Formats: sequence, structure tokens, C-alpha cells
Amino acid sequence: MKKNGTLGAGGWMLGLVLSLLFSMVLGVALIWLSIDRNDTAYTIHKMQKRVEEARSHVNKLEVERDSLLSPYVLGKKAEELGMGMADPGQVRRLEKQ
Amino acid sequence: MRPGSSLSMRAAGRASSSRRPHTNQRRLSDPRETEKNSAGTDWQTLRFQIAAVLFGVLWVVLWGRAFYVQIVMGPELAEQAMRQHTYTELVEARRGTIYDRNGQMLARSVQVRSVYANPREVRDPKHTALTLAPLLGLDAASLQKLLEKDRSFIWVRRKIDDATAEAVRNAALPGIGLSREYERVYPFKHLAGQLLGFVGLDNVGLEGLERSFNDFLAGTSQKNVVQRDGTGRGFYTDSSSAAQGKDLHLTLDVQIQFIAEEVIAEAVREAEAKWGGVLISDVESGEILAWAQYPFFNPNTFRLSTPAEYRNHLSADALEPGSTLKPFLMAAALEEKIVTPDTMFYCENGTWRTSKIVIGDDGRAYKDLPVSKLLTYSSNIGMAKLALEVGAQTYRTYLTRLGFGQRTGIGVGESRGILHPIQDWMEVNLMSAGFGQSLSVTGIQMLQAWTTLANGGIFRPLRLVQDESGLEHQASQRVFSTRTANEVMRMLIDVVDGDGTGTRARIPGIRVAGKTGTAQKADPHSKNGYGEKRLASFGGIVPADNPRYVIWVMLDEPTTVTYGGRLAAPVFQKVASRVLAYGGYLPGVVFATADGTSGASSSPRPVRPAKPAKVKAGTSPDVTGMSLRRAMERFAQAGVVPEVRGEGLIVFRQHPDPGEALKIKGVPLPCIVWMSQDAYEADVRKAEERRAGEQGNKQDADRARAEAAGTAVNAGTVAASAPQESVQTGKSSAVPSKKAEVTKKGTSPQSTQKKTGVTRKTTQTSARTGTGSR
Repeated sequence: MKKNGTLGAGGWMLGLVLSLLFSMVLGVALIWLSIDRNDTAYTIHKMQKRVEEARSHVNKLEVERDSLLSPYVLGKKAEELGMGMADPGQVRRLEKQ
Repeated sequence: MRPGSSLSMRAAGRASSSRRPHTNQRRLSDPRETEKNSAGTDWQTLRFQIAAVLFGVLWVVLWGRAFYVQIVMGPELAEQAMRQHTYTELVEARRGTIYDRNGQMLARSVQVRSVYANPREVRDPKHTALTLAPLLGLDAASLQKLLEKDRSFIWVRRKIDDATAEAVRNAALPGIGLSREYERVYPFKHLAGQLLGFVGLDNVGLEGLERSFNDFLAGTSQKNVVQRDGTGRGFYTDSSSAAQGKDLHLTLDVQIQFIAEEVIAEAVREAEAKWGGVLISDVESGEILAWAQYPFFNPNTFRLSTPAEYRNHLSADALEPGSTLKPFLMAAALEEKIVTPDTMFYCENGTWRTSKIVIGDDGRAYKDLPVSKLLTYSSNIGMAKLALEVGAQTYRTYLTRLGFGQRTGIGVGESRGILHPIQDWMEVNLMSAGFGQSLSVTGIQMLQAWTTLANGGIFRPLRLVQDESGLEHQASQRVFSTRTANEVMRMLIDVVDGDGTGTRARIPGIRVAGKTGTAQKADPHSKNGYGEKRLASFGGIVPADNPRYVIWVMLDEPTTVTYGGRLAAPVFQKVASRVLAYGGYLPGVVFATADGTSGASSSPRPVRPAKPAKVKAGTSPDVTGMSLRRAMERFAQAGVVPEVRGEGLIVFRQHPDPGEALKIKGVPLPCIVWMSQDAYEADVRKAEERRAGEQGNKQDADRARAEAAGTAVNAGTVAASAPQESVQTGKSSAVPSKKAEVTKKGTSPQSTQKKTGVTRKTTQTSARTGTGSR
């Protein structure tokens, strides 16, 4: 740079080179970010699917549990064990002393 | 000389000329002039001009092309690019779950897979069909034909099970894919099947509540834009998701529903009836607790059923009710003070031949009967005469106020019934209406009217759904005075407890009010309009002294026996006994203590409140009284794994208390569930000792222990308490402090039970011991 504050040819050249380098770095960063964004998006998508599948399995297990605990199933099991609905006079309540 | 040499010489010449005197400049410029002169033109300038023009033209062409591509073709190309880089995916909304009053699932949507094909991408249709057909249980030849079609999408098999889906995936057939869909599952199978209804392949409600509340349950499917890369893999560019359907909470109680279904199924089979149904309502709230119908219908396999099987007879069928309508005429007559219970009616010795019809008392010959006995003996002649006394206008007005001739508005598809306009009420119609003929009602209308009577004459709309779903109910209103309602109740008690027609509905130790009904069914082919078919019914209120349940029973076209008193009344008796046992209202409950003393107890089994408590995010769920497994699930849903202390089947106490924050200032509280009172009290004692020890005062510790023990014994249950927190030190104690214990010592066991709504070891004070249920 000259003393009067204006850039010489060397200064311009340096600035240009630096700008080009900076642009190149930015370009590379942009590409990297884009790739990373895609990867992250895939990962999130995959994880979401896993969560969804896990939730779906939980739902199915809950349905299965409710099926097994349905009054009809329990009633049948109770009957097999000789249990039934209480008649008047058959109910006992215990008090904790 | 090489061109390069001449150029370098020229450059050297130019450089040296600047240092020479001006006299030499003319001579040095001579070569250019020589070049120009020898050619006759300025070639250098020309070359520059040609190059400039060429570049200019090229520049204009490029800009022109850019303009064409960007501006003229821009939108079209952008759309084309969008099509290549993105695609839309339909995200199906999950349909809401249907729960009973205790939070048990009645219907739920689960994700399943469906197999589709893109025939254009199927390389070998024959091989694909031969591979797929056995996996999916399809015919290979038909499947091959399907795969040979020139289409881009076809469903091969929808909603398959997980194992089959995995087998299809492993087959890795080109052009064959799996997509996710929701399937409706009814875990309790046929329980309340007709009421729940079912949904079609596309998750649209086709029958029952699934249809009535389709908009509420369905949610809104969402189309998402998915971006895809060069390999075709897609990822979401926005996070919008489908609006899930809302959950529907019914007032039904699965256990009561089961009782009703079991009993009615047995009765229908024994009576060889066309169908039968039981409806149960809670008198105080008007909530419907059971909606049972037999033959059963399993919504999971609705394709195997006929419309007759999934028809909701209890709300859709309008039938002439018969004698079960008589109490309302009686109430109208008493309310209007047309008669008193002592007014006598001549019952024509069992047969009354009027100018239009002949009315009989079914083989029973009564002469004079007081009004109070007309219901007991179910005299058609007496009631027909009473109807004439009341008049068509008045009687019809009361029937309208009781809800007949209009839909109840509970949210299911229902019939209005038939209640003719007043101008169509001839004398014969009025007489017939007096004993429940000439007008048609649905089962749910009868339940509504009986609930009004049980409710002291106050009409309160029945409720089947707890959620605010935009249902329009009729306003509550008083139809009969309490005095009238009580008077009719006394007559109805006499029907069962006296020598009336409903003696088979008696329950030992419980007073029952009820009325039998045996209605003739209309038959257009018969001379008098009625054939041999009957509707046997029974309307009952139990306990009659303090009505809690109204139970409506009907059996359509029984063949073995046709009388309501012999068919429907026993059904009522069985259902009522079991429902009372389930609710804790059964008489003769013995209150036993560990020391061997015993006495009668009247305390009913506390039931959970109808509306499941909604747990606020970040707060402790209410697990007291639940099984350990369910308690762990609830805590896990809140993101916490509780510590289990003590042994037992149900959770005795919990910490933090229901509704309290699980974290304080970001510090998670220890979550503990005590499975027994002993374990809880042991922790209380340890905490007191520790505190006392910290204070270095052993005497205080002994006193504290005694107080803690005394609190537990006296109150019967350990009162709720807040934990002592020490956020600064990062320590927290889950065991209640003595101070908190003493502060809440006054909490009554009943209120605690009501709050938790579960059966606990009974903690009645001595004042309650020995009292009867009524």
C-alpha cells in the first residue's frame, strides 16, 4: 500500500488472491455443510422411524396386554380357579389394626 | 528470424527509444507505418474489432440464453426440478383411541404394513407372483395377472401382520414395496361391539360410535414434501406432521359391561330369542355404564358379519314396550292429581270388551283394584281406564317430557321411536298406550325414562361420552315431583317384593323396584295387527331406597317362554346382584378385623372417578391403588423409574404425591412407590429417627416415632404429605416429615379413598362399623 492510502498493484493482487481463497473456503464449507445437513437429515429421519416403530410396538404390546386382561379372559381363568362373583354375605373386609 | 525474436527486438527498440533524443522517434515508428502501408489497412485494429464483435455477439447470445432459461422457461424448469428433487408423501393421521370410564382401551389404531406393487418395475411377474402368493395367501395366477398390468401402483394386500411384512421385505422383489397404514384393533373383541361399530379399510368409521364420532376421532392426514438426493433417498424439509385424532372417553365400565353381556347372552340362548339387550345407567350422573347386546359382534372381523349382527338394536329398533311403560302413566296420573293410590278401578273380571277392541288381563280376573295395585298386577284394563282418565293430551305431554318420540342425543345412531301427533290419538290408541302399545320406543329411551323416575322425577340427559364433543343434550328438568316419584317407586317395589309380576327380580337383602313387560309385536299380516311374537322386558331400579343403578332388559321374540317376568326379571336379578357386588353395595358385607371381631359394613367399593385424571407434563401421575405394573407404566410415561419398597399387589402410597412436580428447580425428586403400609411406616420411622438423631435428641426421636406410628394407626391411612426438600445441598428426602404428617392427620379416610378412587384396606372408624348399607 502506498503512503497516500491507495492500494498498489501488489496490494490488489494480494486482496484478490485472499478473496479467492476465502471464497474457496466458503464454497468448501458450504458443500461440507450441505453434505452434513443431508447426513443429519437422514439420521433424524432414521431415528424418527425407529421411534415410530418402537412406539408402534409399544402400542401393539399394550393391545396384546389388554386382550389378555379382558374381562372375558380373566373371568374364564377365575372360573377355572373356582372363583366367581360374590353372593350376599360372602364379602369380607379386613381392617388394618 | 523467428517471430519471437522480432517481437523481442521491437520491445527492446521501444525500451531504448525512450532513452534516445526525439530526433530518432520518427525513424523508429517507421516499421508500423510500413506494416500499415504494405497491407493498405490497419489490421491490428481490425483484429481487435472482429474479436470485440465476436465476444459481443457471444455475450449477447449468452445473455439471451440466460434470459430465455431464467425468465421465459424459468417457472416450467423450476417445476420440473422440483418434481425431480422432491416428492410428496401422505402422512396418515392416527385415529384416536376409545377408552372406558376407567381408562381401559376399547379401540385403538396400530401401525401395520400393506404390500403394494409398481407393475412397471416388476421384472419377472411370474417369479414375483409365485414368491409373493404363498406369503400373502393369494392365488399366484391372479396375482401374476395383476402384476402384468400397465400401471404404476396397485395394492397387493393391505394390513398384513408383522411377520408376513418381514417375509415380504426379505424377499426383496423388484417393484414390490411395503407401506405403513393404521389398523383399528378392538382388544376386548366383541365387548360393546355394536356400540363401538367399526372402521373401513381407509380408517373411516362405518358403524356405531366410530361413525358417529368419525370427525372427532379421525384427525387430519398431512401431505409432506420430501426432498430426495441423487440416490433417491428422501428426507423431510419441514417438520409438519399430521393432526392426530382425539381420544374418546366413554362412560362405560368394562367390568359392568362384561357382567351385562355374560348374563344377557345366557338368557338369549336359553330363551332362543332373536336378540337381547341390557342397558345400565348411573342414576346420579345419568352416565351409561353398560350397553350389552347379544348375539355379539366382533368389530375386528366385521367383514364376516351381516348388517343384522352389527345393528345396534338398543338404539335403532323402535318397539312397542308393553307394561314397562305403565309406571309413567301412573306417575302422570298422580302428578296431575287425577287419582290417588287408593282410587279404585273396576277391572272387568279380566276381559273388557269395548266398541273397538277387547282388552284382557292375560288370564287374570280382577274386579276392583286400587291404583296402587294396578302396577303390581300389571292390569291392562285398569291402566287403559286410567289412560282415559288422564287424557291423550296430558299423557302425551308427559311422554314427550320423558324423552319419547325424540332422540336422546347421546351420540349414537338412534331412532326417534313413534309417538303419534296428538290429533292421531284416537280413544283406542289412548287405551292401548295406557299399557304400552300403540307407540314405539327404543331401549335407550326407556332407560332415559326409568332413570328420570329413579332420579326423583328429574329428567337428566343420559351421557355416553365424557368428552366435550359438541353433543347437544336436552336440558335437565323436573318431570314429576319427588312425592309422585316416591309414590310410584313404592308401587314398583311392590311389583318385586310383593305379590306382583316381578318376584323373580328379588335380590336378598336389597330392595328392588321394577316392572315387567310382555309386549305383543306388530304383525301386518295378522287380523288385529298383532301376531304371536313378543318382546319381554324388565325395567328395574336398585337399590330402591337409594337408587344407584337403573337396569333395562329386553329380549326380542323369545320362543321358549315369552313373559317378561319369567325371562327378563331373572336377567335383571343376575345383573343387578353382580353389579352391586362389583360396586360394593352388596348386603351382608362383613367387616372383619385382625383380632377376630367382625360386624356389618356398608362402605361401598370406591371406584375411580369416571374421568381419568389427566396428568400434567412434568408432574407425578396418580398411581395409588394401581397394580405395580400399571404404576410403573404411568411413571415411565412421565419419564421416571420409581423405586419400589415393600411387598404387595397394589400401590399403597407414592412419592411425589399425584400432581406434584417431579423436579424442583431442576433437581429430580426421588420417586418411590410403597406397596404396603408397613414399608411406608418403616420409612416414616427411619426418617424421624434420622431427623431426631441429627438434632442429637434421642428423646425427641422416640416421641416422634410414637407419634408417627400413632398417626398411621389412628388415621387408618397415612395422610398425604410433602417431602422435605433440601435443594441447596442437593439432597432430598422422600419420606414425609412428622410435621407434615401431623398437619394432614385430619384427612378422613373416606376423602382419601374418594380422591384415590381405589379399593384399599378398609379404614372405617368405629362410628361406621356396624351400620347397614341403607
